[in-house]
Amino acid sequence: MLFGVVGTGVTDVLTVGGFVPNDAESNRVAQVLEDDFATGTYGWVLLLEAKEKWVYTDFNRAEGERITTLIEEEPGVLEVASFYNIPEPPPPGLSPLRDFTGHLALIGVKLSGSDDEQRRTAAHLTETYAVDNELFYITATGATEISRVAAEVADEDLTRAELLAAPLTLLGLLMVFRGFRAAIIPLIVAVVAVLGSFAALRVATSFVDISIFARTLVTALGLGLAIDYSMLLVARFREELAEGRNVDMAVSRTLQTAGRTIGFSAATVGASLLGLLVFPVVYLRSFAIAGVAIVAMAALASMLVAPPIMRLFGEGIGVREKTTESFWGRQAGRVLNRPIPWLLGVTLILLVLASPILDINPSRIDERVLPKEEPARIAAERIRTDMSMADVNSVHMYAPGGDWEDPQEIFDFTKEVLSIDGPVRMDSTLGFVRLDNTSPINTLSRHFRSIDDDPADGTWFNIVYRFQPDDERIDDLVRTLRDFDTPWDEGILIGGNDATRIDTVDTVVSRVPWALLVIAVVTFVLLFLFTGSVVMPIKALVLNLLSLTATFGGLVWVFQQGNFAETLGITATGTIDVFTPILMFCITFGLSMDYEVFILARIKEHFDLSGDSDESVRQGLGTTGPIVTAAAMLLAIVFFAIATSGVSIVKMFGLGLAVAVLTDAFLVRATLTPALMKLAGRSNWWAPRPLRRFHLRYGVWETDPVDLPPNARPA
Amino acid sequence: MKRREIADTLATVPLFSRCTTADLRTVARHLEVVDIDPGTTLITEGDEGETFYLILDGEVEVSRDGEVVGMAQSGAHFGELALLDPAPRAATVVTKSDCRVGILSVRMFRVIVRELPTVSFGLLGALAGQLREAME
Repeated sequence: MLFGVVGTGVTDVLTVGGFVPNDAESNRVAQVLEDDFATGTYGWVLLLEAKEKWVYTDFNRAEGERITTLIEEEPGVLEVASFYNIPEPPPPGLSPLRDFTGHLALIGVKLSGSDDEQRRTAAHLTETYAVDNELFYITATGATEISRVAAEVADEDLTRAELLAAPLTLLGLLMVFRGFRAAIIPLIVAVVAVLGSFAALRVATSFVDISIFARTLVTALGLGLAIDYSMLLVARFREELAEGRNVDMAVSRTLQTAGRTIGFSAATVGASLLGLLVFPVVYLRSFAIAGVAIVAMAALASMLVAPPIMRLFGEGIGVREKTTESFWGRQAGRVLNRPIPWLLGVTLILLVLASPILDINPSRIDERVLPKEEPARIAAERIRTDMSMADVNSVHMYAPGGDWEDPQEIFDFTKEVLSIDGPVRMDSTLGFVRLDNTSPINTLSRHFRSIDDDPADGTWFNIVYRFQPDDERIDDLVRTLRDFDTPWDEGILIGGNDATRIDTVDTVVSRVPWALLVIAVVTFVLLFLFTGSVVMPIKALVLNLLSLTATFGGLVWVFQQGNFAETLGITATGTIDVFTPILMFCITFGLSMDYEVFILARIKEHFDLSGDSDESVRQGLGTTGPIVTAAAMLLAIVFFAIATSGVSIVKMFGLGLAVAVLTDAFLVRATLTPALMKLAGRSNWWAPRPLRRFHLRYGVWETDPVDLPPNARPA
Repeated sequence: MKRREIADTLATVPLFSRCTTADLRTVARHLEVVDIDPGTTLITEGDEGETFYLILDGEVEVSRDGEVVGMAQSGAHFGELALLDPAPRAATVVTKSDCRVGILSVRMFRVIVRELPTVSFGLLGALAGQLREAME
C-alpha cells in the first residue's frame, strides 16, 4: 500500500527527453543559441488549413495574425516564424510558409528550456491553439510535439496492456500450476514488485532524471522477473512439501536454495543493466538506474511476499513431485542422444533469422512512430507532402570567432558554403543569401547577433538545404560542414535537428562495443563465481548473443525492411530507432541470464552430488525447464500485450521481447544448452586449478540446508 | 565463531592434518558450526544420511544395535561412509556433553573431497584406519 501511495503519479515526474548526449556538438550549439542568441530549433509547429478561400484572404490573415501574436506572447516561446509575420510575398529566398495552393499556412515555434519544459510548453500550446475555429482547421506537430504525443500514447497503451495482461497472466498461471492458490502468488508478487518499482522510481527522480519510458521497463522487466522468481519459489516449495517436509521446513529450504538462486539472478540481471551506464545519454542511463531498482524490487518482493503466503496456504497450495519426465526432460534426452544435428540445425535457423541485422540502419524516430490517425502525424505528413520543411530542418552553424563587424568576411564564407552540394540559402547577419543570387540582399540582420550585441559572442548561420527528410545526403552535408575550413581560428560548431540526430546515433553506436564489453565481463565474472567454470560463462555469453542477434535480425526484417508492416499496422521508415534495440538487448540479456542461472543452478546442484555431466544436464533441464517455459510464455503474454500499442517503437519493443524470450526458452535453452553441454562433457566445469580453488573459497554456493538437531545453536 | 577460529580448530583434527592454511579456511567457509546440548542424537542407525559431522569439542557416544561400542572426542567425524557409499547409517551417535559440531551437507562434502586432495588423503587415511580396526 505504501508503494502504491509513493508510486502514484510517477509519470508526472519522469522526464520526456534525455535522448541527446550532453557533450554532443549539436547540444552545445543548441545551448549557445538559446543562451546567447535567444533562438533554437522549431520544435512545435502549427498547421492551419483555411476552411474558406485562401490563407492570405483578409479575414483569414487577420485571424492568423491574431493567433501568431498570441503565441509570440506565450511564456516558453523563444521565437515564432509564421506565414502571418513575414511580408507577403516573402523576401527572395525565404520559404513562404504556405503551400502552393494557398490553403495551408505554417507557424513554427522555437521553445526555450529543458526537454521537459519544452514538453510542457508544447502541451499548453497544443491545448490552447490546436483547436479548430470558424476559419481554420488547426493541428499541432513538430519534433517536440511528436515526442510528447508518442510518450502520452505509449503511456495510455501501457496502462491498457497492463490491464489486458493481468487476467491473461492469471489464466496462464492457473494452467501452469493447476491450482488457484499457487497461481495467485506470482501475481501478488508481481503487483507488489511493480508498485514498489514505481515507488523506487519516484524516489530516484529526486536525485537523477529518469525517462518516462522507464515505465515500459517496469512493466516488462518488473512483471517478468517477479513472475519468474515467484514461480521458482512456488515450484520449489511444492517439491519440498512432496518430499515430506513440514510447511516451515519447506519454506526455509525453499528460501535457502531457490532464494539464493534468485538473489544471484537479480545480481546478474542488475549487472547487465548497468552496461547502459556507458552511454552518455540520460535516457539510457536512467534505464540503468531504474533497471537496478526494478530488479531489486522483484527479488525483494518475491522473497518477502511469497514466503508468508506460502506459509499461510501450507499444503493447500498443492504438492507436486519433482519430476524429470517433462517435455524438457524428454527433449534434453533427445538432444543428448544426437547433439551435433540439433546444434547445427538450431544454430543455422538462428543465423538465418539474424542475417538481416547486417543491413541495420540506426536512426531516430519521426512522426511515423505515431499511429496513423494521430493528428500530429497527419499534420507532419501533410507538411512533408505539400510544403517545404526546409526552414524547419535547417542546419545551425555557430561560429564562436565569427565577427559580424566584418561583413565581407562573412559574405565570402557564405559563398564558400553555398558552393558545396546541398545548401540553397544561408542566413546570417547579412540576411538571406541564396544559391542563385549570392549577393547580399538584406541589410544586417539583428537576429544573428547575440542578445548582448557583443561581437565577441560570435555569430551563427542558418543553412537551408534542398534535400527532403530521409535523404541520406543530409548526413553527408552535416559531416562536410563539420570539416569545413573557416576563416576563424575557433572553427565552427554544427547543430540543428539533423546534427542532433547524427550526434545521438553516432554517440550511441560508438559506445555499443563498450557496453557489450562491460556486460560480457561482468556476466563472465558473476557466472564464474556461480559455477566455478570458465567454460560455462563463455557458453552462456555466446548463446545469449546468438539468440539476441536472431531477434534483432527479425526486428530489422519487419520494422526496418517493412515485411508484414501492413499486418502489424506500422510504417517502415527504412531505419530502426537506435535506442530501442539497446534497451531490448539489456532486458532480454538479463532475462536470458535469469533462465541460464535457474537451469545452471539445478545442473550444478546435481553435478556436485554425482559428478555425472550428462545426467546432471538431463536432471537440471527436466526439473527447471518447465518453469523456464512457463515463465517465458507468461512473459510473452505481457510483451504481446505491450505490442498492441499504436506507437511503433513500443510495438517493436513488445514484439521483440516476446520473440526474444520464446526463442531463448525454446530454441536456446531446450536445444543448444544441452547439445553444447553434451559435447563439452566434463570440460563444462573446467577452470584453471587456482581459479577452482578461488571459487571453492570465495565463489557463490547454493548451500543445501542440513537437518540440524532441534536444539542446535550457531556457534 | 569466526572462520579463522574454525580453521585453527580444524588444524588440530587428524582428518585435515595434510591441509594447507588456505585449504583449512576453504573448509571452514563451508562448515556450519553449531553448539549442541548433551543427550542429543546426531545420527540414528538405519536412517538415510545426508550430513557429515565433525566433533570440534565435546564427547559423543557411538552405539550399534543398542549397544555402546565406543566414545569419541574432539576430532572425530561421522557420516562419511553413508555419503560416499549411499547406505543407511551404520551406528547411532549421541552427544554426552556440551558439544561443538561442524556440519557439512552431502553436496559440499563431495565437492570438498573432489577439489581438495589434502582432505581426500586425510579421509582415505581415516577410512584405512577404520578398516584396519574392523579387520583386527
